[in-house]
Amino acid sequence: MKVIIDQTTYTEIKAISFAPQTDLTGDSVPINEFQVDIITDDEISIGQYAMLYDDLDNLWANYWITYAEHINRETLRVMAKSPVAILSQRRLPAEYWSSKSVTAAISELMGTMPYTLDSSFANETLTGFVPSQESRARLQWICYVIGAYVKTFFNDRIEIIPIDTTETLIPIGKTFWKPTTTYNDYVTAITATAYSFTLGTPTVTDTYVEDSNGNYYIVSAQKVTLTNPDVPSAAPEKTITVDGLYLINNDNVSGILTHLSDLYFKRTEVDLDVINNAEYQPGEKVIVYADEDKLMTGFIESCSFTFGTQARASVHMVPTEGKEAAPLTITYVYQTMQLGKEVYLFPVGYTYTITNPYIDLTLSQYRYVYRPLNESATGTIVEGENTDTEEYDIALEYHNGILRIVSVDEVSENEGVVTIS
Amino acid sequence: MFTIDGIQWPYPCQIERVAEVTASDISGMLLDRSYFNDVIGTYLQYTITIAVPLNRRDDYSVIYEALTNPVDGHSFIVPYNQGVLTITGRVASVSDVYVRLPDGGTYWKGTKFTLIGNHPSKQMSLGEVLARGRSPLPEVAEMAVGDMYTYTENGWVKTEFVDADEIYY
Repeated sequence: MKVIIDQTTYTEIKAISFAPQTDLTGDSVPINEFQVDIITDDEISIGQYAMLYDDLDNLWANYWITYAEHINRETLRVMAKSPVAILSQRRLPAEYWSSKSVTAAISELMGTMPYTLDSSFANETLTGFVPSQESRARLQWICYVIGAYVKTFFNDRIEIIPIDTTETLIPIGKTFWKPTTTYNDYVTAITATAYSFTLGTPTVTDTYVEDSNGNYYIVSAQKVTLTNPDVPSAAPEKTITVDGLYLINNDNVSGILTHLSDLYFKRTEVDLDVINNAEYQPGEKVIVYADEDKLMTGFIESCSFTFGTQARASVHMVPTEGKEAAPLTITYVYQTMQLGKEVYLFPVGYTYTITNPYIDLTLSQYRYVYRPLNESATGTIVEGENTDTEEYDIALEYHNGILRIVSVDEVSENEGVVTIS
Repeated sequence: MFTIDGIQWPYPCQIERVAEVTASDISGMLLDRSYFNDVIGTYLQYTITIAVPLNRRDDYSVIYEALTNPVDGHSFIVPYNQGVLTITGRVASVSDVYVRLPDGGTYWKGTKFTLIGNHPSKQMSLGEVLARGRSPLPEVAEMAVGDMYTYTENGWVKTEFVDADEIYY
């Protein structure tokens, strides 16, 4: 890992702390940060960007330095926060919005700050009232109603991205022993309040809001409830209430409740450690091995990284639910002889591509290297048992000190060097 | 024979070499029951015992003082396989023995110190680690179908002729 500050690259890093997170249901967008201890006697001023890179020059974070002090003679500690922190310093006026474009709303709250709004939100509009609030809180309001999250890691700017619907499998061979699953209480129902606003002069009995121009809007509210159909009758009542979010209206409340049910009606959380060189990031939907024979799917809420030559992440997933899985048996055969087999567990619907190995066997004092006729076994997992047979041929035969080349796919020659594969 | 900070000391010595293949803390057992070994690199450790002649007591002191200086590391030239290796290493410990003879004479002897390389003598880059995979075929470059090879002290040697008794030449 390395850090670049003001065009100076620092590679002698003693410690890194980086645990980015997303919060799909919180009140405000998380402020992510990293801390690095760098071996240097340089003096670094705060109020500039620090970029955290891995050894393959992939950007992990581009954050604003809020602290830089020498903790001993040669070690500089730098703490930097995502630009979302800057959004906390900007306060926006109260406004009533009628079909306001998401593009314009985000542009206003971001100001000159670099950001990317996913193109799928280009035609989305917002209707309702926004009180005088920090840009950071307004950003979360907007994300909440349009089904988006804020990504401030592995990029150089704030990204506003739709909630992930593509499930990525984290292989069992990248999952450390052993994940833990936590079961929470059932959420029995979600109640959201939908609002409408009428410009006018409120009476004593009216509920009203006032925008920054002194206009009054009379508020009408209607509660809409979605009940969890999967709750056992003995489960105690637990209702999630979404109240006071004035961008929820009668047009979008149904979609928001459906989206929230995906998050709240699943009661399990999974914590696991994985080899993670930034392939699996907070906010993404993943399928994980919660155990050797159990798959779960859900969103990555946070990744706390530790670093060696590669990176390991403690991943917290919320919420999760079971994922239907089925076994796959791949049998390796040469003519009628079985050379070996491997058994895997994959989610139903998963398209697998598994490299066929070279197989080295000794039979009756003959040593054979078998080569696969196909580079990989591929297919799609269906319910029930899945089988795949991969054909092999003898590549090399070794006996009594003699190595014989039996078959190869290709012989090529380039500038006098002959290569077979 | 070894060199410390550019000064070569020609005195008899015994050198013990240990190579530590060091893995990072992120290593661990995986759910598929294989072990993930995140190797940082191979670090060399040398333990050297020096025999300085009694008539070279000044050199003895110079070596001792150099080894015990509280510095981050020293430059060492030490034997490595059939040649030598220059490494920057830290001195982990220095020990010796004080001897008092019946006639009242005294001297120090048997300076023994352990140095540990500050940098790996061998390492792979992250790109190499991620690209690491199974080699397509073992030791078969420059071969063609029908070729036969015999393993000799020079490696695999192509056999040109097979007689009726299946003896290869």
